[in-house]
Amino acid sequence: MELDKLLTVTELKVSFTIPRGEIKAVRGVSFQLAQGEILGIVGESGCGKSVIGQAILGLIPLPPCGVLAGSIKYGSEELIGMKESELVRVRGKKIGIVFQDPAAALNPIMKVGKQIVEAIQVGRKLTRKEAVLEALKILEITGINNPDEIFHRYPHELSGGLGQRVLVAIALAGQPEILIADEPTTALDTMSKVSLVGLLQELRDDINLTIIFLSHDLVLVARFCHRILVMYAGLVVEEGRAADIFNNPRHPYLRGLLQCLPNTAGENVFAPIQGQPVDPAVLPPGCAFAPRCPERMAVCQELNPGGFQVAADHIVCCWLFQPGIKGIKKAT
Amino acid sequence: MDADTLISVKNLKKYFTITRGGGGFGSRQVIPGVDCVSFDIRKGETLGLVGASGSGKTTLGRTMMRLYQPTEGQVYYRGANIFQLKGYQQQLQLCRKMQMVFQNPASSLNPRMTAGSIIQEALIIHKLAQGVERIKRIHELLELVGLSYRAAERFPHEFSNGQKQRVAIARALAVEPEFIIFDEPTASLDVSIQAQILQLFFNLRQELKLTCLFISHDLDVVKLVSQRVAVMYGGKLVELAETRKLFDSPAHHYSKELIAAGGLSYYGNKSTWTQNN
Repeated sequence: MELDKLLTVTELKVSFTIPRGEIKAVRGVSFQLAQGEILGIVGESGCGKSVIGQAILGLIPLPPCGVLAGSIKYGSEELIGMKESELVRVRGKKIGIVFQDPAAALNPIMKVGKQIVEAIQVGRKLTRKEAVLEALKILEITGINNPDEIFHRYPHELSGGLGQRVLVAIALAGQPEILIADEPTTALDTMSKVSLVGLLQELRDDINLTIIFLSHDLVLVARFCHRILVMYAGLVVEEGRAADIFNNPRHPYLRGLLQCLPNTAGENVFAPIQGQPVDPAVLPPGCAFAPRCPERMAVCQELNPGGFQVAADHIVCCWLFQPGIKGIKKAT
Repeated sequence: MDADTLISVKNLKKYFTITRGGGGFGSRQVIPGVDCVSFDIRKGETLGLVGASGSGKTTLGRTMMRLYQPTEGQVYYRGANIFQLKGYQQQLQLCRKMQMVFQNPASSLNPRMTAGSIIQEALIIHKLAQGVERIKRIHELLELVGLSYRAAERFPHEFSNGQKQRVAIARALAVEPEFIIFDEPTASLDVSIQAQILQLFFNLRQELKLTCLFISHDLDVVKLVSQRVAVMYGGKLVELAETRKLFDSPAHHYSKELIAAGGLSYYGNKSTWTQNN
């Protein structure tokens, strides 16, 4: 019997219309999220991962967004096109979000305790005393040893790691089932990154939180997520279990990315990917990675590949993996 | 002092005093940004400097560049105390030898100046080239960092982060320095752009025979670029060793913690990362 899918995204497309042209941020992304899963969406700036997170929560304003198509089903409810009055019920309460930079996401002139209380009181009838007690409890859950002290601090009085925990606390205030973490570790140093990831893992174990983790940190995602989607230019290029993605990378972009990681084995096999990241307003026909791909073929420059299954639960969107592709002429 | 030593830092302290509360009745708090640090950097070497946020790495870098006056201690460049230079000419000469590439390219470039103007400021101040020569030099420098000559006409906001960092590097190279401090040069960059900037760093270092202090909290990057690594914690230098030795057998307990936490590398720790699957 198939596990109930908490979230099903089908052919999500998001484009923005700006004076320069149409920016196709997300060009047809599909995936499913099972209860208790930690899904990682990995990609560099501009690949579209943050836009997916925002689309799920209905945070994309309709101008300048020109196109918002496809389907995002939370259980049986369709989130795209949902009225704001209905979305408020979902946002924060069923699906929460943690943003990247505590300095930017927190109100700088309000003590953090008050910001958590605010989040708790949305749509619920609680006395201030009850809300404060709950806020302190949530701060403890996020691993803060001195919640009473932190409650009364301003955001600028917190280190990056603590600020990020406060953001997690605010997200947890609505008691969501799903937590979208949008680059929560990017601004943190190594040890804080490890703590934060540890916290998210604990939350998943203790309160059965399902997590979507958006990041450009491949190594962190490999260590911590169950399944990974690798994105480039608005599309998923490879998808599979974390172990498969990293033991057996197939897509040339993913392989290139892994070779970019400063090699700690001592040998210098370090090699940057040639060329510049694609401009989302000026996408080439066919595969967006083709101009930079060392293994591109003629077909790559004309048609966008679909997904090809290379192993159980491992799909690659690359013409190199179409069955029977051997012997095709390489592009000059 | 060794003929081999380019920079010598001796008992350097930089304390910051913070006053809380107003009206003259506030309490004073002294924060030891850099707390009695000593080390040498040899000519041609790249010394890595690691530590958590707040450990004092950037403060140390800025104090060595004389952007802060030290509370105590000395820094010697080829035997001369850089805090006791006599006169403008001597200080100007030092600026030609020691340069810095800052952490956040977006805020270290003047948003109202074109890349060309930013780079030529140094050429003008040090009277290094005039007229046509100067324009040629600007184009040379841009090419050296992998940018087209057309970049000279563009403003910082027209560049990507990686390109901004290249402009910052070109600016530092304009005076043909011997020693460059790189403060977290790849921190705000995507993986593939970071790789390109590191490749650029390797090429420049070899071609221009640079001596560097490479500050980063990314242990993998530091391991790749440095011959020796210094570890900072709470303003103090807790360990300094050859790169391989530090990573294979760290001595200080904080170094051990830092390296264990940083052991998330793909190639380094394959056995442990499969735990979650």
